[in-house]
Amino acid sequence: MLFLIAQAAETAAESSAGGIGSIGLDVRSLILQIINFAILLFVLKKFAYKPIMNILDARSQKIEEGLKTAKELEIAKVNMQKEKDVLIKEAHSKAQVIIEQSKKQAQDIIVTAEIKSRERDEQLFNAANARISQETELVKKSLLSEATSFVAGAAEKILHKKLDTTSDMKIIKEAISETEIV
Amino acid sequence: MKHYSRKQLALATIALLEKHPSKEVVAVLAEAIMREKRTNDIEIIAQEIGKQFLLTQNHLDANVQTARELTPQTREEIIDLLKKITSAKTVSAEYEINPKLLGGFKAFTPVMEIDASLARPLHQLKAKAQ
Repeated sequence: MLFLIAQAAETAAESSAGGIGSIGLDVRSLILQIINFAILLFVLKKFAYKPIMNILDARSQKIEEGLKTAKELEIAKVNMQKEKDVLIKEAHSKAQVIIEQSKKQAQDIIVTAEIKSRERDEQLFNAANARISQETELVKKSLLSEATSFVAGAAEKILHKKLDTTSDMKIIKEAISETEIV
Repeated sequence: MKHYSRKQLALATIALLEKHPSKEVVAVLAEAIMREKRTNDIEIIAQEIGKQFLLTQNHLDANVQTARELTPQTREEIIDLLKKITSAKTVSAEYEINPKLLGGFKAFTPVMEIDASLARPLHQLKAKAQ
């Protein structure tokens, strides 16, 4: 084949000596260069182009995979953000509910404590009232007892000193007439 | 040994008093009481004798207490009162001075007791106060 190419080059050179050669181009060297280029192209295609293409394909695939992964990660991130938002919202709601419940419980505790306190106050007040009444009653009784004893004692002394026989006889007569009536 | 009731003892005493001097009757009664070991009942027996005296003889024994000496007229009035209340024909009264009564009178008989003393309302007042 190379021989054929060389022959064609030689033929071309001979024919171009008049035509293309007149514009300064060496047809022979041009053909050789084309042949060289073709050989180089063949060698490159055979040994370099495929592996390079393979490498590029692999790289491209990797990049695609990376992009895909990035996209997935982006989606996952967005999903996570959404989940996070939902969770935060739920947590907020739960916290709000807990706070409300706590407030209610605290309110209930306060109300119960107030009721108990009021009841205890009432009991204490009633007990104090009862004690005061009891003590007042005792004092009254004591005063009445003392006053009565005093009056009785005074009456006794006065009667001892002041009652004479005439008055006594009068009293006896009155008692007799009262007893008769009865 | 036979045990006599208070009524039996009282009736026997009254029957004996009709025939024997009171000193002897009292001695016999005392002996009987001692024998029957009824010294704790002496007061009740005496009361029973008085009661039976009133029922059988229409006679009443009374003890009258006053804070001062009674005038004869007041004594009479008290005797009349006792006769009226108990329907006794005769009354033997024993008079005692008890200054604690302050005034008025108190009469003890076997069938009843009259407290018309001034000490009574005062005692009642004191008791009520306590």
